Parts: sequence; C-alpha cells; structure tokens
Amino acid sequence: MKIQPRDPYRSLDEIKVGQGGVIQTMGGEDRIRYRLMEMGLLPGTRVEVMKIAPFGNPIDVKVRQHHLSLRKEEAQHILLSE
Amino acid sequence: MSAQPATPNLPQEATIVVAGNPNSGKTTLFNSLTGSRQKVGNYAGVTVEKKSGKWRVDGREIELIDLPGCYSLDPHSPEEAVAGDVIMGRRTDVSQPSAAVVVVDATNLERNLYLVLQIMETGLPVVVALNMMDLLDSYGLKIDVGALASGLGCPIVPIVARTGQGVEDLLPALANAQPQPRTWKLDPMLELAISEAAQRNGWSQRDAVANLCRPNEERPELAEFHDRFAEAGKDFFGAVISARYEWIHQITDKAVQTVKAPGRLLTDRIDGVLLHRFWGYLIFLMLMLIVFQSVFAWASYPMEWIDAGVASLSDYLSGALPPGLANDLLVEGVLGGVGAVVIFLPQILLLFFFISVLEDSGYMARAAFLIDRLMQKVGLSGKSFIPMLSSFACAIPGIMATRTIENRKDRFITILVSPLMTCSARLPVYTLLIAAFIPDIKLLGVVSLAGITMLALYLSGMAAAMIVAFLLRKTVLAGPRPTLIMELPAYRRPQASNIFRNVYNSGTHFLKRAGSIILAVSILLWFLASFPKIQQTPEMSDEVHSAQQLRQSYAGRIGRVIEPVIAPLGYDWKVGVALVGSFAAREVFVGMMGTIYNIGEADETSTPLKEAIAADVNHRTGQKLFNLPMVLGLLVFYVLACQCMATVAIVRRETNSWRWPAFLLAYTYGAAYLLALIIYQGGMRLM
Repeated sequence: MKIQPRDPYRSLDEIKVGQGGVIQTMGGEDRIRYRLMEMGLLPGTRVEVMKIAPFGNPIDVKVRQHHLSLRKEEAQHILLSE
Repeated sequence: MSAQPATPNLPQEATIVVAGNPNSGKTTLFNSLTGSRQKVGNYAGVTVEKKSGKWRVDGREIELIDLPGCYSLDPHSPEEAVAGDVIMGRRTDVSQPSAAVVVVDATNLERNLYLVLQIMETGLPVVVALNMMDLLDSYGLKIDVGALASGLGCPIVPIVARTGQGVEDLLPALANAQPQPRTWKLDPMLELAISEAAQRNGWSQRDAVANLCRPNEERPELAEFHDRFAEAGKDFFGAVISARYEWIHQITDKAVQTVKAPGRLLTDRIDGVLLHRFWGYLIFLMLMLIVFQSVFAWASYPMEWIDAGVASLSDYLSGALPPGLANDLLVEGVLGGVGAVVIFLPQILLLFFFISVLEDSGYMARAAFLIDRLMQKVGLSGKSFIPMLSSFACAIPGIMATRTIENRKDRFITILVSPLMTCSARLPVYTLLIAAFIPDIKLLGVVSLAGITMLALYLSGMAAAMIVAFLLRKTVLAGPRPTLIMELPAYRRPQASNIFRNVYNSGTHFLKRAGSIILAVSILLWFLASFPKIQQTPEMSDEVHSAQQLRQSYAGRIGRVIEPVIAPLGYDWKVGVALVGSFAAREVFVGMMGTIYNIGEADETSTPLKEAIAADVNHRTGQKLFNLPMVLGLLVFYVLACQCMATVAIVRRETNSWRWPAFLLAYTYGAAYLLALIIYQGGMRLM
C-alpha cells in the first residue's frame, strides 16, 4: 500500500537515517504486523531510523530503547507522522 | 518445635522455568545457577532444543528449565509455541512448573515486561530477575524497584547475572511468589466477548483471550466473534497487545526515571563503524575470513593428530590382541568408526567457538543485517550466511549452526543445500582427477587450466546451492516470505563461561546425536569392503592381495551389480566400488582407487595412481576408462551427490526425521546421475 505524496504520513521505508516519527498505523500482513507490535512497535510509539543497509534493505530502527531490524517490505506498511 | 522449611510455598521437588527475552542474560543466569549440572536434548516431536539443569540451593535440588529466549508466548515460532506449552504444563516430557523466573533486561524494560505480563496471565507465579542493573548508569536511568514490584504485582530481584550479584535472593522470592489475576482491561465490547467465549467453550478467561488472538483458520469455532469484531472495526489481538503495553507503560512511568540524557550510547558509536557502508563490510569480510580459515585450515592440525592417534592406537591394539575376527572388528571396524566420528570435533568446536563469541558480543545480528540483502535473492535471510559459509569447509558444523535460524522452512532449506557447498573432503577427489586428466596448459601463459577447473568446480557447488535453494523455496518448502525482524542487541563483552558452555554443548550434542549413526554406517562399510576374506597366497604382493580382497568383497560385488546402472555414465565396477566406499567420506575415493589399482596406500598426489587410472581400459567398450567426458562427469557427480554418511546423520538429527535425509540423498544423487549422464553421453558424441 503505497502512500500518495500529499498524505501527511510517511511510511517507515521512506524515512532517512537520523529521522524518525510517531507511528500512526501498523498495516500489512497480520502475521508480521502482530509480531512487530509485540516487539513494541505500536501506534503512538516513537521510532528513529538508525541505519539503512545498501539498497534500502534491511532497516535498523530504534524503538523503546532497543534496536530492531526489519525489511523494506515490512517497513512500508508502517505509517509515521512527525 | 518443628523447623519451618525455609521456602514454604515451593514444593520440595520443584520444577522452575527460566524465561526471558533473547539477550537478556537468561542463559548467563541459568549457567551460574546450574554450573555443569546441565542437560541438553530435544523436545519430543519438534526441532527445539531442550535445556534443563539442577539448581542446588538451600539443601534441595530444583529442576530448572531454560526456555528458549522469546519475546512473547504467542506461537509465532516453534520456540515460542514450546515455551508456552511448557509453562502451561501441556508438554508430557516436562513436569508442570511451580513458578517462573523471568530474566528482564533493565535497560529495555518495557519490551521485556511484555513477556513477564504474558507469563503472569497464565497463572504461574512469577519472580522477575531484573538483570543488568550495573548498566543503568550509562543509560542515564534509575529504577525504583519497590515501585516497579508493587505496580507489577510480583517480586522483583535485582541481579547482575554476569557477576552473580543478587542471585541469593531468588529462592526466598520464589517462595513468596503468588499467581496474579489479569489487571489490564480492554474496552467493554471486547471484554464481553471474552467472557462469552469462555463460558460457551468452557475455557478459563486467560485461554479465551489467547484463543481469540489466534487467526480465524486456527479457531473456526470463534468465527462469529471475529465477524462481530470486524463489523465494529475492532482488531482484537491488536487491542490486546496495546492494552498490555499501555498498562506496562503506566507502571514504568512511575518507577523509571531518566536522571540524565545518556548521550550517544557506546553501542551506537560502535555500530557507526561496524554497520558503516564501507568499513562495516570490510570488517565483516575479515571476520568471515577468519571463521572460514579456522574451520578450513586451523582445524586440520588437530584433525591430523586425531588421525595419527587413531592409527597408532590401532597398530597397538592389533598387535596386542590375538589375530582373528574379533581383532579386525575391534580395530578396523569399531576403532575406525570411532575415528570417523571424532575427526569432526575440531571443526565443530572451532566453528562454535567463533559463533559463540560473535553471538555473545552481539555482533551476529549485525552480520545477518549486512548480508541479508544478498541472501534475499535466493529466498533466505542473513541468518543463513554463516552456516552456509562454514559448509564450504565442512557441512557438518555448518548444518549444526543452522540452529540460530528460527524460521523452520528457512532452516530446512539451508540444511538441504549445505551439502552442495564444495567441502574440503571433495578436494582430494578433484585434485586427483584434475592432475591426471586436465592438460597442463596455461591460458595466456599465466592462468593454469587446472586452476580454472578447480575454481569452476567451487563455483558450481555454490551455484547449485543457490539454484536448489531458490527451487525449494518455490516448491517443497514454499511458505510466507521470510522476514528479518530481529533485535540488534547492545554490544556486550562475551562471557568466557557462556562460550565454554556453548562449545562444550555443541561437541556433546554432535557425539551423542550423530555419533551413533556415523559409527554404525562406518562399521557396515568396513564390513562390506573386508568380507568375505580371501587368503594371501605367497606370490601375491600386499598390494595385489588388497586389490583382490576388495574385488571379492561384498563391496566389490555390489560394484559389479550396479555396473549396468552406472555404465551409461562411463563407469565400471571399479569406480562403482569406490563410489560405494566413499559414502563413508568423499576422500576415501582416492584411497580406494589406490587399493583397486594395486597401488596400496595412495593419496591424490601419487604418480603411480595417476598413471594407473590414465591407462586403464573399460572392459565393456574397449576404450580408455578414464577419458575426458567420463572424468568431467565424475567431477560433477562429486559436486552434487551427497557422498557423506556423516551429513546424512546430522541432517537426520537436526530435522528430527528420516524424511529429509532421504530427500537429500534422492535429489542430490538424482541430479548427480542426470548431469554426469548428460556430460558423458554428450561428450562422447562430440569427441
């Protein structure tokens, strides 16, 4: 589910290193979504992108004091606002 | 006045589970409580490792079960499913636990408490072992343990697992632990649904919550509820997770203080280098080279000592015992078999040493992170990289190392393609055949044709592995796309005791689980090659006697029986015998060829052997037996076929069934036969 440019929200895979935001919605396949939520990625949580591997995949994200890696395909379903 | 037992609430023969997130220091605590009184096995029916041990404290022996590290009890992975089952007492191979010690990383409180909450919900009394208290300072945090304990509703024991500080307070806390009811609440509509589902199906509240969280396909009887939720636009499982975290947040808000801004944490600074676009990859390559070198080259020294040791022991024994059947069986069969098992230990121990250091320090996750993109191309994840790398030296430790891959299908694919990686045992076969048949020309005066052939063989092994992995992912082991949702833990100094434990356990795991199969097959093959015995007549030299012995043996007969089957590949019974024999180990091919051609002890550099095979004639065709198409086909045969009983043994153990080793043998031999056939028949037409 790709975001339209005029949307106020950006997806996690579009965020650059050093930037972050507050999660608005967790989309995507249930199995992955619940997994990420249980690891602490919930609406209202603040995340920051720490590192991105070459070709944009995978992404190292800081959330609730720990680091989580996820792939671009999983990150694109997570919408953030500033 | 009777003496009060020090821990009134804990039964004398208690079983206690030790749970916690991965990287929380759970294993360090478990090791310090149980020391050497540990036992590693498997949970029946699954490929999850079972770790238990005895905790000697206060005059009693408590059984501790070290559960696999998990983030929640919801069965996302087989490990979490087993953890949940053990805690609920649903497993028949484990007694119902009386309590749980949950090791919590104090620097990562909220996510760790999520698991604590789930375990508390099961009704099991919980004690939180708040670990890594010594690191709070560097994070600029201060925790009011009392406030945390009263907010959570269970005893909290601050510890530093690394040093053992605070551990003595665990038992008293366990004695006072009580089960706690669920404290967080969902919105009224969902709460109502829980009670209704519980009542209708005769479930406890807790089970009703857990079952409503499962997807529709798993719980069709709850379809009506799911429809109701969907209509109201509510996501039950999502709401449960949020409610848990909200409740946790309320508690940590009161109990945790940020006393100073931590500044850039050491871990992040290190990641600045280790995950750097250039330096990160350079360091990664260097580390991988070291790992590879160790298994490929450094291990060969102890392996040679083992070989020499077994040889001198067998010389001694065969001299000391009276000659005869028992002597042969004991020395050549059993001792030879034991040698065939023990020879793998140096490679396994070395590999697991390096893996433990990388894992314990926290680097392993970074390695998987860096290489993941590449592995994605064949449908695997970064976690498959190190196992596959080690398979380039030897598939046995490589396959054992797949333990770290949680996804069952990913793991099986990695296991099934590992034998295709060009292992070091193939080299003597390649060297012999290349030296005997590849012309000694240098392309452009620099690059030798022999070198190119060797490189081509190496690359084809890798290419075959990639292709098969891709195919398996599309067919037999198709499944949801693998993810790389993985924690990148803070860097920590590796603990010597943990490393030692891991290495020791890997060795015993191999010996116990694969050793018996390898020993059995080794004795069988020895038997086939040595019986029936023929007498050595005076005019027979030792070499000729050995050759005749092999010819007349059961192995020789098998070779002649399969000759019609392998004739289309250009082989005769002699090659057939060597193929049968080298199932024990690929390099045995060279030794057997030496014996068959009356050369006796030969290795791949033996000139008489090279000359002998180059000169031999195929009795069916009247032409040279070893001609170019046949040799190329034979090389490809060795690239693909799983000519290794030890590999079969370890695959059987790591997949817990005979189905997968059978599949491995079937597909590798099938592909090997087919390609060797095409190359020989095609090559003969072209010549």
